[in-house]
Amino acid sequence: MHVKNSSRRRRATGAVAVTAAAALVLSACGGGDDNGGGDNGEAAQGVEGGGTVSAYNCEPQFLVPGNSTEVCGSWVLDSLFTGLVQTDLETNEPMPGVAESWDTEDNQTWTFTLGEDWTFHDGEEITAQTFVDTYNWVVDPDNAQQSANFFDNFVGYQEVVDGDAEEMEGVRAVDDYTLEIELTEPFSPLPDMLTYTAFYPMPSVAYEDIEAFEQAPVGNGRYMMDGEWEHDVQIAVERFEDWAGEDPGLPQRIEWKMYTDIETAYLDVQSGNLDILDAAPPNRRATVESDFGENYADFDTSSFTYMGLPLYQEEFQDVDVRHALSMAIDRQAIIDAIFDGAQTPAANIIPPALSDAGEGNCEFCEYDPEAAKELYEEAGGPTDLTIYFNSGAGHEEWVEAVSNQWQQNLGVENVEFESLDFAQYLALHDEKEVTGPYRLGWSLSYPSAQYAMEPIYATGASSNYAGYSNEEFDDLINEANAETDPDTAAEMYTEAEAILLEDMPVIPMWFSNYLVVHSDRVDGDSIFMDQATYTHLEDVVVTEE
Amino acid sequence: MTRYIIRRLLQFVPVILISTLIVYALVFAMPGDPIRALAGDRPMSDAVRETLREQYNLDDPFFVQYAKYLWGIISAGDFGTTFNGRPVSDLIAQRLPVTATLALVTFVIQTIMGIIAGILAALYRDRFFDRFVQVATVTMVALPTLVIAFLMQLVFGLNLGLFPIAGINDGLISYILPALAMASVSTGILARLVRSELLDSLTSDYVRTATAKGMKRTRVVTRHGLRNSLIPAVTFIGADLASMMAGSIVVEAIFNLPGLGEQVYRSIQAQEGTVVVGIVTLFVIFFVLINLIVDILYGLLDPRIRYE
Amino acid sequence: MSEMHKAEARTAPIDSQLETSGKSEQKTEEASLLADAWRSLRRNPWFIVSAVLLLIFLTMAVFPQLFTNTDPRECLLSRSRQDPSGEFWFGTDVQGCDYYSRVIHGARNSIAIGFIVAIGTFIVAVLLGLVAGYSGGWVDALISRITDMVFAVPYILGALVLLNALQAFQAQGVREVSFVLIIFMWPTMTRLMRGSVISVVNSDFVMAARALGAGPITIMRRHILPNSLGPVIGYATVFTGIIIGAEAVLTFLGVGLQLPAISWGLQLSDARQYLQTSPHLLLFPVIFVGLTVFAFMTMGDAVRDALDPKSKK
Repeated sequence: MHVKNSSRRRRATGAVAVTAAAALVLSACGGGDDNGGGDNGEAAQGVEGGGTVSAYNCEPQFLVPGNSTEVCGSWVLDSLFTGLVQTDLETNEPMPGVAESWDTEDNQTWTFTLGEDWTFHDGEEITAQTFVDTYNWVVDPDNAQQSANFFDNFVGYQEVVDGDAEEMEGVRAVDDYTLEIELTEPFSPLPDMLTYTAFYPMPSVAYEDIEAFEQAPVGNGRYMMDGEWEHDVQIAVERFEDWAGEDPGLPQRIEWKMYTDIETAYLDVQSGNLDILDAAPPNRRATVESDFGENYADFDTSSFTYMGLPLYQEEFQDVDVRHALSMAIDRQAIIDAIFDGAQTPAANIIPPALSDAGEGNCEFCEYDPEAAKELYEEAGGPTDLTIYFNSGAGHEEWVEAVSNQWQQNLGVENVEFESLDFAQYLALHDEKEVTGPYRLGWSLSYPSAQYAMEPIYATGASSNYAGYSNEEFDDLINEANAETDPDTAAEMYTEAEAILLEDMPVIPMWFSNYLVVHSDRVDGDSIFMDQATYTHLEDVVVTEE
Repeated sequence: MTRYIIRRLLQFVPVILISTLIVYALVFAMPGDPIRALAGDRPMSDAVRETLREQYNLDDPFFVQYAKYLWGIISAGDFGTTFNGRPVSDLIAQRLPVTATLALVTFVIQTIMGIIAGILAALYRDRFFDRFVQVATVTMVALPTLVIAFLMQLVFGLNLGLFPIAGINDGLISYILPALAMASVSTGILARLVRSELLDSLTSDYVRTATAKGMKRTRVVTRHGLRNSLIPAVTFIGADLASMMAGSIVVEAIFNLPGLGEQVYRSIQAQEGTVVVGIVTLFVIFFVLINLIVDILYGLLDPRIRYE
Repeated sequence: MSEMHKAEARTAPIDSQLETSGKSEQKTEEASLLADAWRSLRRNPWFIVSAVLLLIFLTMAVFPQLFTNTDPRECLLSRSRQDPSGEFWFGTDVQGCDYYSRVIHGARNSIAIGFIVAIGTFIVAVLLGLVAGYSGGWVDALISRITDMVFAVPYILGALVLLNALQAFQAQGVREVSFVLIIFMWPTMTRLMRGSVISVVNSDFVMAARALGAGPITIMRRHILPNSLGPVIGYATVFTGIIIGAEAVLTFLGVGLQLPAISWGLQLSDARQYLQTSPHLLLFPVIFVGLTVFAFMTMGDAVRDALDPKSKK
């Protein structure tokens, strides 16, 4: 049913490209897309592209798929590994990876048919057993993999965690190229979920010495490590010429340069020492045109910022107070003044890229200071607020702006700020000691409306910091997860979203825009950032050596 | 003298023991669970969390943790690892040369510039150069290092292209801008110290006597005046060098230098006790050593100062 | 080394130091010293300039409303980051607040922290440096090694833990931040003080005083202190400026003054990212911090010149 046969992942529409004319300029000096990099002559096998592209990155935390929970590491792993399923970047739908096709009757037992010519970079063949071994290894508590709980709806997960079983019953190699996954309950977004980093296959060498493996991971992706991970300096990968997928990478070589300061990376791209910076500081938007001419682009992502409200505190239990707080915020003004216009105000919970609702249908996200004030006063909203955010992460300015608006529009008299480092911040949440609005964000590990909602708003969910609980919402999510017809499921998710926008356990703020700047060496039209903020370096066309 | 030095070296032992204990205690006292923070706002499972906490001895009482840490060092030379499994000894081996190079380049720049500027300011007291040094010092102190560093990158790195903007790939020349940024404030302070001390001694009787006897002015300044006025300067340079060996979070971060200061900051935030303690121990050794050298220099500069 | 003019190395007015026995005499002499100092200060134009500047800044810190009627917290995002104009002399900041009023109101926190910390570290440094340098031996070793240890503890770590402990009682304000800065910033000055004490302690006038039977306290206070304060005062005056900057770093790291506090340090650190687009955000606080530092420095020089027994002709 789900089988798709998408050819090349050409971007075209996904991006909000503001660099229409850039391509012309660049292709004039670079000579189009076929320019197999000079010294890397082996781009022979009919693969276009070549050359080296360097990109800004932060220092990864981990380079083991099951252990990587942040973007810096997962971005690198995305090049080194290919999972069972990949994401079609145009539609954000799942498409074949190592698995050629998949099937399910009930959304609960899934059968994946694997391609037969996949190997790891060291030549080891990939079979269904490879995935069985990897998944069991990731889940084994002794291996302490942070993403282990992504498997928590696999049959047998709990037994392995409790030490009652060695292997998960729910992952089975039927034969060499048939993998069966059985879940504890129906879950329609499984293929989406399998695109995530935690589900990449690992070769047997990994289990022998995981620490050595991490310094130079052997994967099955488009690119293979060249040398070891040079901590805080760079990670270099070369194209893997035996990659079994349909659309191999274009550049011959990718180098991630690790920076501790983004401003510095910006200057380095400007001076030509670095090719791509995909997280240029927002305040640079004002000068980016004079700094880079046409060498920049803007991308919408699903990275969501919100002001959560601790529903376990009495003041915030009245829904009118929450509505008033939301309506008193002029999101566009904040975005214009502080982010130079570079965020998309959120009138939704599901990112627009994944939503059928399109523009969003959030009645109380509209700025309406008069109505807000009236509502706030009637509901007897608190006159003193303490606002929480984590320090050193660039949230000071906009949080201050929000507080100013609450003071001006709602008659809030005193505002205090608690800016804490992240460990302390989370501890406060876990102990339910937060007493006022708090900043948090959510980005989608895999592109699914389910993942945009269930982990944050379902009763007792792991990231439900607001302490929100609504039976109707929980039921809708469960039904949607069980629904076999994708369109009906999408409708149900949208319905569930409407409940959230009405109940407003969190105040949606915006979805982030990313400003990408690049050097003259690469074709700006070939740069694409997906909804999860990953820039697809494998598609970048290098125009000059 | 030898006995003095040996005695000073023996002081290393208690100093290191006490300071590691203090630092370990400080990290221990930090609120929040570092393992919890590792995974961001999507929490890891309790099973994984427990395994990791056990692996890093985080569930043990404080003194047990500390004892295990010390025992690891003594029994196996194991200085512990970061939360992502990198041995602390590797980290230090990678980062110490960066910080040491930066400190030395900074040291050379600020010592030469500071002393020369101080001498000239004293000789031309209240004239243009003196005022210039004063204004420059005021400006450097008033501008945050962040801004100074950024301006340097902009002007010398990007616009003039004289120096690399960041990183350490171009050898010694990559350290010049960061060193200038780091030296900016200290050079001013040093110049002022030298200036005022030199002014003091230039007005003292013996210098006046020497001048009266017909000694050349340059010789008077270098042989008599300067020598006596160097003690505060040497003290300051020593203290400053020591703190440079501890790295500068700001400068290292802006210039993308993988040095110790930046690592300590990161590890403090991640609450990686073993990393913090390992590196701080190194700092303590620097301080004790540098201060020993400074004390010996006192004796050389002023023979009346004796150590038995 | 032999050509050192030992006797003259630290020529102090030996003859006046020798008459330290009689208590009453001592008092009048001290009074006349201060009177002398005051007389020479009044004649120093730089002292006048710095005194006036400091007076202005202190007034600004205590009575900001004398300088501006505008509420620094009245901020409208719609007028964010405007350049200086007739209406907004210093322009507006990111939040759209009147920057002139912000800078004026920033004086209180910044000067308070700069002043408290400079004075605090000065007292600690002078006391410890004096005792260590004068006593030598194990007292010196103990004080010096403690200095080394405090020096080695990264102050961010200390600040994080200490402020957290303090936070249990109250929010972190000027007092708490100053306290933390003093705890971790005294070592450099202490080393400086100890160094200059060591260079004075062996001079002839100290020996002479000792020979005449003066007690250690008297010697330290009357002979060593005045002759060794110079470098520390010089450093302390610049230090005030450094502290104003350090406070901003602490805030950035989440352990300094918390929003919505207004301070020059916060303004400076916020301004960095708008360096190219709105340079006025940096310029005005820099001028104010610069003038403050300048005033402290010049004042320090003048006071030192006036007090220093050596500089008297």
